Amino acid sequence: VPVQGVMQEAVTWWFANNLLFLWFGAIGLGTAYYMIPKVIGRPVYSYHLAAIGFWTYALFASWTGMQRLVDGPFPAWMITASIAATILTIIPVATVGLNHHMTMRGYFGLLRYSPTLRFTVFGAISYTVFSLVGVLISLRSVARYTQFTEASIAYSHMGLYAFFTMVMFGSMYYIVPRLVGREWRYASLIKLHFWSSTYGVGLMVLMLLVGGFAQGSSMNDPSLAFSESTQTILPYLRGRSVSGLLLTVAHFVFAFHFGLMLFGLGRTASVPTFLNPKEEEALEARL
Amino acid sequence: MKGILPLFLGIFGTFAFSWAGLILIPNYQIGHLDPQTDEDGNDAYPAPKSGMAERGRRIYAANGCVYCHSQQVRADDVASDIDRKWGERRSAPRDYLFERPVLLGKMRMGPDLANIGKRAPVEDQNAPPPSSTTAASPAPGTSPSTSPGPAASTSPAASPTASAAPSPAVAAAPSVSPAASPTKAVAAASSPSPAPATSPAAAPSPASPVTNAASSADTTVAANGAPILYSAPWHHRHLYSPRSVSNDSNMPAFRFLYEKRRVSGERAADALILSGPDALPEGWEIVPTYDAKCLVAYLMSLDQSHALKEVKVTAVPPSSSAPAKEVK
Repeated sequence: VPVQGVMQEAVTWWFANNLLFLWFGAIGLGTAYYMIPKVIGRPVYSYHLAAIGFWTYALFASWTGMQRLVDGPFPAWMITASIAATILTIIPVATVGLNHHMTMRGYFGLLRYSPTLRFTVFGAISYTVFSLVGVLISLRSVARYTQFTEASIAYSHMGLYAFFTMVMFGSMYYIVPRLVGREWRYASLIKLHFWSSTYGVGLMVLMLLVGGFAQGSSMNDPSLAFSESTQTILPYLRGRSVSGLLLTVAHFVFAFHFGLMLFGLGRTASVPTFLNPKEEEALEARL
Repeated sequence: MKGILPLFLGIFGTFAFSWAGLILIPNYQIGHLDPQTDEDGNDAYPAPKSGMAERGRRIYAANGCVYCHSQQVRADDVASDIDRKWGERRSAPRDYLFERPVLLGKMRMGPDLANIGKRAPVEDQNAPPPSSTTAASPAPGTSPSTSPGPAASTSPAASPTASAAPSPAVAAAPSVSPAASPTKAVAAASSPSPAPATSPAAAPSPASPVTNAASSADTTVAANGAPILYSAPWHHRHLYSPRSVSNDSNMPAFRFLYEKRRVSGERAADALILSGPDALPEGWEIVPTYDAKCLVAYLMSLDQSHALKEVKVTAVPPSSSAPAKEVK
């Protein structure tokens, strides 16, 4: 990067955070806005809210980059501006969350049947949690503990996996059958995929967040040796390895299932694959 | 949103807005700093690194050191970085003028390295030679090893004075409080074959003015043969075998940066000082490759101890309520 000294890092984080928020975040949100109404057969609750959410998101999220550099060698105002912007992202997050919730209201029962909806709604909920955790760990009083710990990794995984990847999985469960003209073969594999990835990413985030706070508080206690902080995090990192195993299982299951679809081994049926035996009349109108 | 143009302009505008605010304006403020000099224009800080250290930076980056080691010291009022002796003041933008790429780091699975070079012993023959701090092993029942040098076990009392005092980060075993750590630090190689479980670290205090350990002419090796903390031989040994100097280090060993070879004639001057389970059979030696030497040169060049005008040092009065929060 053709700038001097620490400005390289500022540019990097401005870029990286925009990539996370405005590229992955916007694609994920847009997909959720498309998939949820599509699956439940009902328009988005409020287009005004969606527009407000979009523009405030573009405005505030693009300012959040320096929240990763709290207390670093930068002018304090830069970081404060980003922290303020992070707090302001509560506005788009609240509008998006409210919009999705109101769209889904009365249709939560469909989560029992539709794989797309399950993944997408999980992703949409994760988005809210992800943003609120982001606000939390960027506050100076919290960042002094979470800075330089695994907590920031938990944060990135919430954004990229629990939110974005899960929404993408959901949309693939919707799109692929329409592309190849077959339906997903095994509802059990979809279920396995959903539960192992949900528990996997949930465990990972939990382990890294809690572990990060533990690591940070022992790192900030000068009466403890530094190695104490790395010892503190170890059990959490082992838990994280377990979560990684779960995610690996999930990915192989999905890859196998996807492969079946590619080779035309999906079911030929007029109705989509439901996760559970369906009550026909209740669903036919909607799906 | 009637058309594509307002949408595009709006998105472009928000991007440009944040780019101006977080990149353009800060770049005016801190993007064109010059090294600081005293009134006569001397004593410039920071200075560009040597060629070896620059190459070492690339090796540091290539081996992913930055994923576990940060190079930034936070202010005294927000974190305990300064209490941990990772620096005497917080880092400032000016410290990184010649860093390309700048390796601030995001994670501390290992200690901060912003001042790792500062903590190295001064290689100055006029400086008081280092004393070897030899104290009892923390394991009860082990007889204290005796040091051949005159440095007695009285020196630990004086060792915490200098900033070069061993950081508890590296030296101390868990459950050792920093107040006690210098006394518990053990010169690792002082006994002929230290059991790895009982001798966690070599932590003599360099440049301690108290004792007169004049017997050691080599300022990087303690009288008992173990490398002094944060000296070049110590770094080589630590890179080659992290657990041999710090018992619960989780650092990977970078053995591929070292070469094992037969001693031909004289033992090489830079051959690693190894003991315990790493000790080699007679006739063999481990020597650093050029990359390893560059990496250590880089590590030893990391030093932010020079005072900066824009950073107030608040570490001295512990009751101070005026934090040096503002960088500039």
